[in-house]
This record gives sequence, structure tokens and C-alpha cells, in this order.
Amino acid sequence: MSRRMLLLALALAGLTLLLGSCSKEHEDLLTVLEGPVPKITLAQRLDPESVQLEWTVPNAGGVDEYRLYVGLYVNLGYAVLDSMAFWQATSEPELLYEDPGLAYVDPVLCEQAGLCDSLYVYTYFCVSAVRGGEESLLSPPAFITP
Amino acid sequence: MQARRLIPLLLLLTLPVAALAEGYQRAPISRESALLRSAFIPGLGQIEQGRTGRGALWAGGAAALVGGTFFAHMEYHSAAKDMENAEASYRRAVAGGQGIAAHAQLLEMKRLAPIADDRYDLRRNLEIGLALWWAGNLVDTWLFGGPADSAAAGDGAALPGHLTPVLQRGAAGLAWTIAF
Repeated sequence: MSRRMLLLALALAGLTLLLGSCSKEHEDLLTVLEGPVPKITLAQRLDPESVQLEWTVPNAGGVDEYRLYVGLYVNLGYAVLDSMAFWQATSEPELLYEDPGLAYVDPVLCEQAGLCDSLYVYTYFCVSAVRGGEESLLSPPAFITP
Repeated sequence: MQARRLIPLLLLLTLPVAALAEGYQRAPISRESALLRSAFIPGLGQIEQGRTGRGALWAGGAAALVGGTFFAHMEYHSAAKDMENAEASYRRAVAGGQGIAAHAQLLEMKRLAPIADDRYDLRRNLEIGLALWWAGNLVDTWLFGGPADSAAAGDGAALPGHLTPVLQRGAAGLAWTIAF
């Protein structure tokens, strides 16, 4: 092979490597959105202090545990408070959430007080699935239904 | 002041080349030589072979494809950067215990992902088009240009320093501009 042909082959190999590296970069970018994410299907108030939660996740077989997060969203009109914290881990796709504090964040209370035009207080729940030590993205927040 | 000192130097450098170009007869060029030139600058091999129109077509097409690919790359880069920022905001919101804000960022990521994907596809298609154009240019240089035998062709060494006619014309133009 002549020196010129070798140069040509080297240029071609360099171009192929460059295109290959771009492809890898793009795959990495979208990886974060891949993988099954749980979805809360039920967040029903059973009584003022307890909520029944159920969720599903695609390919539930490989899930080691689910992590339940509880959040409080308060909109005062001029300020918003959004605070969420890990509550507990479970291996089942359902949980009975019991909390005496729930009685104080019932939307009915705000209606009764006539404050719903300017004050919104909600409790919400999110779930993530852990597989092989990797935690999935959080499920969309689920608000309590009466 | 320095520019004035440079003018005689430039004249000294370019005028001999321009003088050579005046009496230049295109030397036959081997296919191998033309192929190598076309590999680095599409169309240059054809121009060297005396097929200026076709060379200009290959060069113009390649330039358009390179420009388009670069534009598509910049668009993709912008979408990818937005996506990375949304992901970083999502992680920050989760770490800061802001579930609603995290969800908003997740929705933003889902909105941006197909945009980034589309732009990536556009760039990839342009890259493939450019590669095909480049390969077609090589095939054209090899199949439809000059003599096959490098020794018989003289390998384009009619002038010292292997200066191409294109460079010579450029040098002549520069010399005339400076002289004027």
C-alpha cells in the first residue's frame, strides 16, 4: 500500500472514530429517561389520618424495593413552599400511609375557611423503584383524592 | 508602519510564483495524486485533472454539506445543553426535597428529549450525506479522471514545490492586488 493510500485510510479511520464518539455522547444523554418509572395509581383518603396508596411499574419483577416520598405543597399566592422527604421503603406496590398531620392539610378545611382563592395546601406522594442499587426517576406526584 | 515593511516582502514572495503561473501549462496528474487531493478537499482532484466545472460542483456540494452539518451540530449541541441543564435542575430539586419542582424539570426533560433526538438525527443524516458525497467525489476522481499510470503522468511535478494551479492563481491574484 502506498503512503498516500495509508494517509487516506488514516483520515477515514479518524472520521469514523469521531462519528462514533458523537453517537455515544447522544446515547448517554438519553439514558437518564430510560428505565421503568413507577406511577401511583391510587392515593385515596380512607379517613382523616390515613391514605391508601397503590402504584405500578413496568417490569416489576426486577425491583428490589420501592421508596415512598411524602411532600407538602403550599401556595400562599405570594410564596410557594415545596418540601418533600423520604418516608419509607417497601417491597410491595402498595402502602397504607398513616399520619395524624394529614388531618391539617385536608383541602376541605380551606374550603370551609373560605381561603381557597388564595391558599392551596396539598400533600403529595412520589415513588421510585430501586433495581440493583440504582434508583429510578421519581413517579409523577400524586395528590390525595377524597 | 509594519504593514508597509511587509509589502515588499510579500511582493518578493508572490511575484516569482505569479510569473511562473503566467506561463504555466497544466501538467498531467496521476489518478492516485488526484485521489489524494480529492480526499482532503473534495473537487480539488477534478480541478487538477482539468475538470474545473465538475470539481467546483463537488467542492460546492461538500461546502454546503459541511455548513449544514455544522449548523445541525450547533442546534443539537444547544438542545443537548438544555437537556443537561434540565437534568441538573431535576437532581438539585430531588436533593433539595422539592418534588413538584423536580417533576416540572422531568417534564421539561421529556419535552427536550425528542427535540435533541430529532436534531441528532438531522446531523447524523447530514454526516452520512457528507460521507456519501465525499465517497462519490473519490469515485468520480478515480474513474473519470486522467491517466492511470503515475509514472506516465509525471505526477504533477511540472513546477517546483508541487504548487497547484489553484494556489498559483491565488498567488498571482494576491501579487496583482498588492502591486495595484
